[in-house]
Amino acid sequence: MTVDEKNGVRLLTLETEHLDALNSEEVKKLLINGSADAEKVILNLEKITFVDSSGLGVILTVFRHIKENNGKMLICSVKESVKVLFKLVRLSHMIEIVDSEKEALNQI
Amino acid sequence: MIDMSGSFSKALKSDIGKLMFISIPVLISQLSLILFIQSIFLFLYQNPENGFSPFILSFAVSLAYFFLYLLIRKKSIDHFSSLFIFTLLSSFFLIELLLLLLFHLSYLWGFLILIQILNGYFLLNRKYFYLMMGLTISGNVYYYIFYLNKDFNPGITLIVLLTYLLSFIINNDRRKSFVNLEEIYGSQRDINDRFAQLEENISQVFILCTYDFKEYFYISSGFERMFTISRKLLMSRPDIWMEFTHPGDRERLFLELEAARKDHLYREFDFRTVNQTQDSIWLKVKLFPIETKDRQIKDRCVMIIDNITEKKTSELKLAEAKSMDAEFAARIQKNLLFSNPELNIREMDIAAESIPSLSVGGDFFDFYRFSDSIVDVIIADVMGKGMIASMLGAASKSAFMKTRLDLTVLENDIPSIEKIMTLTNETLSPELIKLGKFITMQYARINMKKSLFSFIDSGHTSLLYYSARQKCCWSIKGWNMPLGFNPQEKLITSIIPFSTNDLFFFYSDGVTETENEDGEQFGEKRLTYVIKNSAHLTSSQIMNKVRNLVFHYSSSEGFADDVTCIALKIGTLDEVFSRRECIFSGIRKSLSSIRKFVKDFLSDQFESLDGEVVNSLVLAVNEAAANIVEHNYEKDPKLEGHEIFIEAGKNDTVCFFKLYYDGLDFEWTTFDVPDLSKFKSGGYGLYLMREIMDSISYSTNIDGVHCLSLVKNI
Repeated sequence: MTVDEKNGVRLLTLETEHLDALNSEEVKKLLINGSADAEKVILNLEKITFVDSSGLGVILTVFRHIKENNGKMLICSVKESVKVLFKLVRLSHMIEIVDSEKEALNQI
Repeated sequence: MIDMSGSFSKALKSDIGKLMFISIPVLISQLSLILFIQSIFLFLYQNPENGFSPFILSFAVSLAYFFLYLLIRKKSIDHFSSLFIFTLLSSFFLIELLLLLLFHLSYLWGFLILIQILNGYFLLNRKYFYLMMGLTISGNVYYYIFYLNKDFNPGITLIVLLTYLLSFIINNDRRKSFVNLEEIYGSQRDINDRFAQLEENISQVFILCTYDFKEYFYISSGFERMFTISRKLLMSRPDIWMEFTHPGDRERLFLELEAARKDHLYREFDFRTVNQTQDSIWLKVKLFPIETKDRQIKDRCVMIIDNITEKKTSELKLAEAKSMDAEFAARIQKNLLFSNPELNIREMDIAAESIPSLSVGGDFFDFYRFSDSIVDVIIADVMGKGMIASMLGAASKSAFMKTRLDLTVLENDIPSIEKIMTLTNETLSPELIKLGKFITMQYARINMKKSLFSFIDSGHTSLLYYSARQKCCWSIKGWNMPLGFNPQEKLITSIIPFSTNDLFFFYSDGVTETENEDGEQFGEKRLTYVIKNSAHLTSSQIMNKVRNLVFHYSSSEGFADDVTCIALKIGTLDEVFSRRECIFSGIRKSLSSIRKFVKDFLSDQFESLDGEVVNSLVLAVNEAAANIVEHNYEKDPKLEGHEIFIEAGKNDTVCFFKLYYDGLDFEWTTFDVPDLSKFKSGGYGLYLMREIMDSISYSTNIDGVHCLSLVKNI
């Protein structure tokens, strides 16, 4: 995972291909650490091709964590194969999902 | 006692006879007085000229009189013996009179007077009294004619007069007693007459007897009418009862009487008798102990016997009528609740049967043939028994028929089973909730062309599915609640792809809940074995086998609950499915290979499949596998290294993935839409699976293998 900072916005990009039951616990820790002390967080999923329900659980946990610290989080660059899951659980009702990192930076 | 009115006059006479001697001391003193007067008289006026001692003679006569008296007392005196005594006394009198006249024995006066007094005791009516009176007076007159001229004795005349007076007094006294007695008996007779009227007009028989039924004190006249034997016969042969008792009731009657004798309590029982005409008469006996302080009659009882043949006969007729009703009900039930399984569909062999329990039940089944290849099957069990359950069953069945028709017309096509069930549940459940009833059921559809069996289960028993290819019998569990719980319930369809010679077996809980003598249930496991070992037979042979086995297993003669089964056997079919199978080890690392297997299978089998569909199917299978690994293999160290066997298959319209695994039962938590706002880290898997797939079904076999089957319509 790479952590970047642009205009006071924390950019988290997951380097793994899958976010599933195998690595979800590990990724959760990375994300929570990476988003620490950040008010604005953008989660970039451009490299992720598969997310399962435990991966969804990770995203929701991190989102709750940031929200509890009065922060804001956006998700960007979601692949079609991952969008299927987000659509099914209507994740966009909870978390704003945008197409690109640039758009995300504009919106946040 | 036997004949109150007949024996009355007899009793009256004998009592009067006895009454004549009741005042024995009075009689003795009277006699003594007579003897005394006689002796004085003889001593003063008569000398013993002819060697006769008047004292001795008088004493001898008195003695003879006492013997006579004893004789009379011993034997009961009736009219004739009284007359006899009277005649005897009269002859004594005449002899004495003759002796007096011929030998001029004046002391014989005493005897005349004695006889005169005695006659007062034995007089039965005025007629005899006056006759006797006439005789004595004529005797006296005769004497006076002879002796008055010679030697008038005023003493003798006085004594004679006194004797007459005494005679009159005694006679009057007797007569008074007689009249009193007659009055008493007269009122007694009135009472008796009234009692007789009462007794003769009461149909019940009253018997007063000892508790050992050997001695009878009173038997009412109704006895002879009821038993057509005389009361005397019963008196002389107290055990004649048994001969008249119906052979089937003899032992029971004997035991009842025996028990009555022991506890001396009130009891009531009935039994049958057979009289000469061989008609059975039902008798009801009420047996009361006699409650009295008198110890002597403590072991007596009163029996009141009533003829209840009419009542019993009508009861029997009623019972017969009721069973007729039950038969009609059963017939109606059969017509209303059960349909004919002969559907005439190629390569499909259906047999169905419902054996009703002792009363009408609420099981029903229905078959509906949509086309040459599509058949709907319903099996249902209404909670409870009896007419209400039966009516509800019939009503529910017609509700399904109506919904099916409505939807078919509306859609101009065959409606899905989910639509039929959902709509019927919406209309039926509120009514069931109001009634506090519910229905467990399965709605199944068999599509022969597509080789698909789909069904919705609402709290019914599991469905048995024998896969001929696997040679394995699966028990498929359902998802939904019974109808009558939630009208808005989201129903889940299970789809099972089938092949040649597969068998589906529906049953009601009456089958598995049948108990043997030890209270052990027949059980699903036993049934699964039976089905597995009978899969080569035809449907009706399987039905017969199951029915016979359950029937022999059952401890009672009938079934406690309705036993309803449907066997549906598939014939020889063209294989329409292309399959691929793979084994994965049950760890998280396998998830990516499982995803690859699914993706590869889909891209190989389908020329152009929408990417979203592929991705969602991959997600669903991944979720299923992750669930198995996480909640099963990882939970128990013993299951480490166990595998997941995945079978993928497709035909023109569906593709399916079956995940076989062992270990624990699948933990079915919830299918509900997850509330994301709670940010829970898990619990979305099942929801995702159901959202993506058109059917999820879960089954187990007797070897402890579980199968999670996911089916998607393409």
